[in-house]
Amino acid sequence: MKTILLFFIIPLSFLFASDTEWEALILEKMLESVSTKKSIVKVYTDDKILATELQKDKNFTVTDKCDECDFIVIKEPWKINGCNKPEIVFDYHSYKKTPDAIGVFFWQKGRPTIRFSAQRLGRFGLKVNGELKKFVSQKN
Amino acid sequence: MGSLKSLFRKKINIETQKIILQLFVLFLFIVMVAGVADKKYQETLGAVTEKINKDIIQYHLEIFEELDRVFLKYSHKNFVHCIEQDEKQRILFEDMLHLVKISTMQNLFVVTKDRNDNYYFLLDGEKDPNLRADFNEPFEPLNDTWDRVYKTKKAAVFYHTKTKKLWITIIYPIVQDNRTVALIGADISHTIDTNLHAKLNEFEYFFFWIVLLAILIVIFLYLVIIYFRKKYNESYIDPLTKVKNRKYFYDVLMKKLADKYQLFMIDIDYFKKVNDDFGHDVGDVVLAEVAKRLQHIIRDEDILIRFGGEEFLLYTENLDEDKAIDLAKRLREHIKERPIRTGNLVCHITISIGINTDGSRDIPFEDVLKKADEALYRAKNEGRDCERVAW
Repeated sequence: MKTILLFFIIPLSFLFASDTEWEALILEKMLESVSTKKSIVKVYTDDKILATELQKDKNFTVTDKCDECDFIVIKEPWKINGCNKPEIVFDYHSYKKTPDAIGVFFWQKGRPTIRFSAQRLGRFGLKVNGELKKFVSQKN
Repeated sequence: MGSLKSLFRKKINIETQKIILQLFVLFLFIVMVAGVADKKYQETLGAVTEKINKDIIQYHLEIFEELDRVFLKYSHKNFVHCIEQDEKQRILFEDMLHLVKISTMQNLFVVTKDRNDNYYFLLDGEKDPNLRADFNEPFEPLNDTWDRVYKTKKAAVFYHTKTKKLWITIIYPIVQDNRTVALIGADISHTIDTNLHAKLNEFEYFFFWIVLLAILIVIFLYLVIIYFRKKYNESYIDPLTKVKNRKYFYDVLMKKLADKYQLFMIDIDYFKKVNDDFGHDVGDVVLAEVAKRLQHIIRDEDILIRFGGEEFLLYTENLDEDKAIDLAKRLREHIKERPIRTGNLVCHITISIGINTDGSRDIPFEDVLKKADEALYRAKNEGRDCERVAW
């Protein structure tokens, strides 16, 4: 089922976007699935393509101050400090090393991989809703 | 519809229609041959590719069988626990994977499944830190073949259809106490596929040019044939009247006479006077118009020849005397019913016709022609603008 989901999201994204844009769309999907009660979610990101994509969505606003945001989506998490906000990162090593990383999207062995950490989500009082629920791991 | 057809006939003469039809048939033939050749090529390609793939897969399965044996032996039949607990053993196993990871393999790794059906990497044969998967790193199987191998304990091979980053994956179960504890996964390198297709593409490119060249040669030869056929036909056409000429009469008609045929010798009355009074230009116009009107009356299978000067010869088949006389009358009437106009001049033209309906292959043609000519002579002598049948 997880596989079907992954490949349902990815080809759909392929239809509308370029290689880098559809990765941004998956990240947007990940953000949507992490529940917040706010109607507009503030995101801090160093990914310009994601920022552009998020700006098209009325449910998101992009902020350049990490301490004001609800989520951080970041390629280089070591560059920000003390924000204490839930993060979504782009590689597994950063995911492991960053205590605030609640989720990750990366490619491993040619396979797209999404993971959410149940423990870290819990620490921020967050839940994954909807179809991406299946990617929540208790293990790491 | 009828007017369209006649318009079509006016615009494109029958010869052109024939050429178009022949070109169309030639094109269909080429397309058919190319289609059959392509089908055959694809079949052969499919068979060869399948054979290569089978060989590759068999070769890899033999490697995994040996790996499985070694893993179980060195982990004392407690494979997963050994890897989880003993880092040195894990490194040793990864070195083994690295050693057997030959150039045909894009990825070689071992994964296991937890209680929640999530897959995790146990071992990775990759040494590049940017590419290797960590111990316990999540693994996305992408399809349910992995679960099936877990259940059936039988190796499986599948082609990736959803992602272009992977080609073929081979899954081999590591079975311990009759239970699958882990899976060896190998993604066969895309470079094999890419190289194979690159070579095939070269061949396809070559094949394409050969076919294209062949098609161009065939078309060129066909056009050359058309050109020479046109030139050949033109040599039998009188340029002024556009009917067959005397050369055609001797080269072609003499050789294809029917068993029974009819000859009409047709002469324009007082043509010399037309030339003398109005000049040769007007004479040419009269000749061309008379030929045109005669052509209009006769059947497609009848042959009209400009025999010389103002004399025409009409060759017909399957006409008895009555029908021949009837045709001659109609020809005369059609010529004289409207005067021929050129500039301000109006010429009232009539013709005389001598008919020989007894043409036969058994009689020398010269005799048949002579009799028709004699009949024409009589028509001329008996007042012109009439037809006479040979005795």
